[in-house]
Amino acid sequence: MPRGNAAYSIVLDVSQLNCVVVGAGAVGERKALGLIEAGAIPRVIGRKATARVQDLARSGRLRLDLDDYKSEKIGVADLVIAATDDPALNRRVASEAKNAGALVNVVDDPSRSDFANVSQIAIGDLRITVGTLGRSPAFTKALRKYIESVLPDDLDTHLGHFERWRGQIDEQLTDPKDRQWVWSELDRRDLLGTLFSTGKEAADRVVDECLGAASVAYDLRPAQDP
Amino acid sequence: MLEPRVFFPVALNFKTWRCVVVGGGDEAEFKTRIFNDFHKFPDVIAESFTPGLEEIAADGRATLIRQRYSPELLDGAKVVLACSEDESLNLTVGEDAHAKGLLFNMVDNAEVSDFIATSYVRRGNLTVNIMTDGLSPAFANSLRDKIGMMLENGYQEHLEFFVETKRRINGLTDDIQVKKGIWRELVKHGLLELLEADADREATLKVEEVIAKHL
Repeated sequence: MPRGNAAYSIVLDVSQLNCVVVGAGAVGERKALGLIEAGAIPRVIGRKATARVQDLARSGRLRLDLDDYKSEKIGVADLVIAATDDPALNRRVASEAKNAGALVNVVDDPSRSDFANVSQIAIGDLRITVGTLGRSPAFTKALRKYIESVLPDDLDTHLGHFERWRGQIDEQLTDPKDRQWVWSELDRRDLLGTLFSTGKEAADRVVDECLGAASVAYDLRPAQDP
Repeated sequence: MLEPRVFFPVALNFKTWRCVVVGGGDEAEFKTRIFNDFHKFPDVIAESFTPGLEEIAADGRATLIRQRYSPELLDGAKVVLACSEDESLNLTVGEDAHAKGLLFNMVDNAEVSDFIATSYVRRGNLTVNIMTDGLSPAFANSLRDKIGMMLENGYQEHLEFFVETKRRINGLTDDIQVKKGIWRELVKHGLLELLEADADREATLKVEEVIAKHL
């Protein structure tokens, strides 16, 4: 893959999509679980299914098609993951799914994939994803662990403070331009850094000061860096 | 309260796709610049464009389609962003995009969007995304800047080291279980932390040691 190619990472609403996983072994199981967690009810196709996949089928979390893959099974799929242990079959699934207009991921072949999986850190409502377009899953995982280890444990509480401040700012200021000014001022004064290093009280003071500064006329406020 | 929406995070490999931006104002310019950041040169549809968009197009980093929007302009596209200043136009674009089975995103309207782009840090092939389920974009941006600073030093080189190591291991064995075992051990033993500490020699020795142990 060329060096300049970067992962354009997005989050996809799969709840309304027709998702198919070809392969019901360990890899297919993992891929199906990822989709289920994101709100999809994937169709899983494979002659032999792991015990977990069979359980998930019984509880209605996925639809299991205990059969060999056949071209007509792709049907109206929107998103297809080729996850068998047979590279040739995966390639066939990929090309047929692409012809059907689906987004395709081939577990053993990033170059044939429309999308790559990313590694995710979930801390409360916060999601951090790390992706390298499939160049090195091990690197992605290592970096995820590294980021996780250097982030403060109470990051979700920090997010809660930002939500609270947002409420406070929206309540005290009605003009979107004033709100914007306060947020850029808070950014300039490194509110998050203050929260990390000195804690909630100091950060609260920074917010109060900026809100105070916003209550004076626009042209009398301290100048911001460009 | 609304049920929180869950999402499936993916990285698009959109090198060969046609991507379309509808709108010619500031928001369209902003989105076009983000596409450019990912080496994507979109088609931008509007009757008039910001000077910034004109400049981007003059550099060959976008193609301006100077006409009123109509659905057939989406033909052959795979990703469509609606970011004109006309909300009803944006919604129409969304209906057309959905009818054609395209991936659609509308500015300031996550409800009708199939996907959401998030705050990100990009270093070469590596992208780190931060999202807060819409709770606080300011928090997402601040955290992005912090992580961005963490990733200032040589992350592309670290990634290359991993890619080289992958190539080497793949050349030595086809056994997936063995490969997995090697990687699990390398990650557990902090291969990245070694590179991070500029201990490249130790990192190389560690790779050799773990490979020798498993093969």
